[in-house]
Amino acid sequence: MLNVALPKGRLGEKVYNMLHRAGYSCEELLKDTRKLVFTDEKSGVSYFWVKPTDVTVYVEHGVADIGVAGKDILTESGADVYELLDLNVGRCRMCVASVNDFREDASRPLRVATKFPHVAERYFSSKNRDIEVIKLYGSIELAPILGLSAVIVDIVETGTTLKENDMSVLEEIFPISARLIANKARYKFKRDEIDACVERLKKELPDDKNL
Amino acid sequence: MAERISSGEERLYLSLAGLYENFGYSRFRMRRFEEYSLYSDNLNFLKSRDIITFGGSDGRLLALKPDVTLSIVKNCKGLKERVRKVYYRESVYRTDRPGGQFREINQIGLECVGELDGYAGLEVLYLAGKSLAAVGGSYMMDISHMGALEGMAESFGMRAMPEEVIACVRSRNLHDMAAVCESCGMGAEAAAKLRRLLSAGGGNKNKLDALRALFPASAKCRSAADELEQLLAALGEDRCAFEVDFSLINDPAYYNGVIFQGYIENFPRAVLSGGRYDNLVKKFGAGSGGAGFALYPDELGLYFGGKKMYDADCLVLYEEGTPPRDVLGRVSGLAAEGKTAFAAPFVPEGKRFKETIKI
Repeated sequence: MLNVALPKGRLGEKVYNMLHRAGYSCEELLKDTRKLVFTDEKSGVSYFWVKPTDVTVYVEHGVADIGVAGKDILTESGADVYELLDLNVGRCRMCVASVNDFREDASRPLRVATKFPHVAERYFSSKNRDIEVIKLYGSIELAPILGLSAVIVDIVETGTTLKENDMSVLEEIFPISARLIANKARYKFKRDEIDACVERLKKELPDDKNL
Repeated sequence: MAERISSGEERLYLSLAGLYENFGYSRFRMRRFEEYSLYSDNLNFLKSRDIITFGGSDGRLLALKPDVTLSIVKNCKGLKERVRKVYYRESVYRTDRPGGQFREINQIGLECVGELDGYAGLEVLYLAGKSLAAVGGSYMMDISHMGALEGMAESFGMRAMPEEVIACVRSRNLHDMAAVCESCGMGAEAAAKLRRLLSAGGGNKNKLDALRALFPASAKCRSAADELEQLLAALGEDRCAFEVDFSLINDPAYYNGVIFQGYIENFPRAVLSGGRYDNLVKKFGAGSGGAGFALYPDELGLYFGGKKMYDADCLVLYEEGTPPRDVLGRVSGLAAEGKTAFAAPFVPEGKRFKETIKI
């Protein structure tokens, strides 16, 4: 039996559809129910929906054998897990952005507003740039508009929100997509099952990447 | 009775201490603190860089020890023995991850330091396997060789493998390998080789053959494969629990030879880790080699614990005014029958007992 942590929301549903096509179906999963754990003995799989940022926690602690997490969450959490497959869905970019008339003042630390403080610190430290991180939990774009920060480090999907707020991308940090992750210890003991799942999922990827 | 009272950790320690002493290892005890400079000079050797420091009465900066191996290796400096074999049970103080809360972590392990030969390395590996087996249940030991990493880096024309590539290898991230190798100036061929090595399936022989075939010009890779093959063969029946896994990588500044990491079923993290750390021993002038491992019994607390249904077998409920010796007689009588008893003149809140005995 494979225990799978799926992120609640559109991404999780998209990935479940891939898993369903790969033979890991669980009919109850998409029904409107208050149940939290869904088991399908026939498919040999048990799913649970969790908050996207919690997927790495469930997998790292071995409650889930495998899970699906965005590269953004994976990088920010620094979870010690195996990253077995790029699912090639939920594509976007981790970027540094600011208002269109932004001019950097290199004589003082750069104020960076972000939901991803570790990503921001690592990125700017690799450039030897001193920064002051302002951790926010939402509406990150507002920070440079109101002068809370000079720049933001955030996920950019289409860039429409930035454009509508007279902002633009300054630098791209890394591309993001959903990744299939596995607990390192569980992988040792369920390797055949997990590898089989990876191979079956590869055939359901949106394009030929990873094949 | 003692069996029931002693925790799983205690039983494990007693069985391991016996095992290690059978192989000539002696108990090593140490102070809870060391000079901070010991750790600040060897930060990469530590699992966590967060260290609790305090000032000594003579003004020296001291630290609650976050690691045991460094203290043992330091202690071995200038010893007359050719090889020193010690085991320990010590607490270390460190955080789980950067910025996390400090924890006192119990650690059981052994170290073999000095002029090590082939037998010493095999013995440490054998005892690591036996230690993992002593925990109980299914277990598995990942084994790799730092020489393979060095050999691969040299084959790619680099002095050391870039950190980004190591991170990719450690997480078995094959899909980002090409992009990461390219960003580190290593080219598509290097990425393809690493992908093929990590995805090599089958048994240990296949994986070692893959290393030899992918890096035929590297003497270090060939020698690493040969050493692993010889060690696994020498382990005999015990080798079944060992699995070659080249995604296992430790810090090359300290580790240089065979490295390993042990897992047990139903526990989410590695519970044993160790390897050959000749570079550290040489740095301290304590000989030419060192090998050892540590097991983390605290990590296994939940694994040993199980669910305790009752606080005691019996609640001995006595009325106020009952002569204390009558109560003591009843409780000691139950203890003699092998039952645990909790005596009180009232029903304690929140506690559960199998039975209640009124006197």
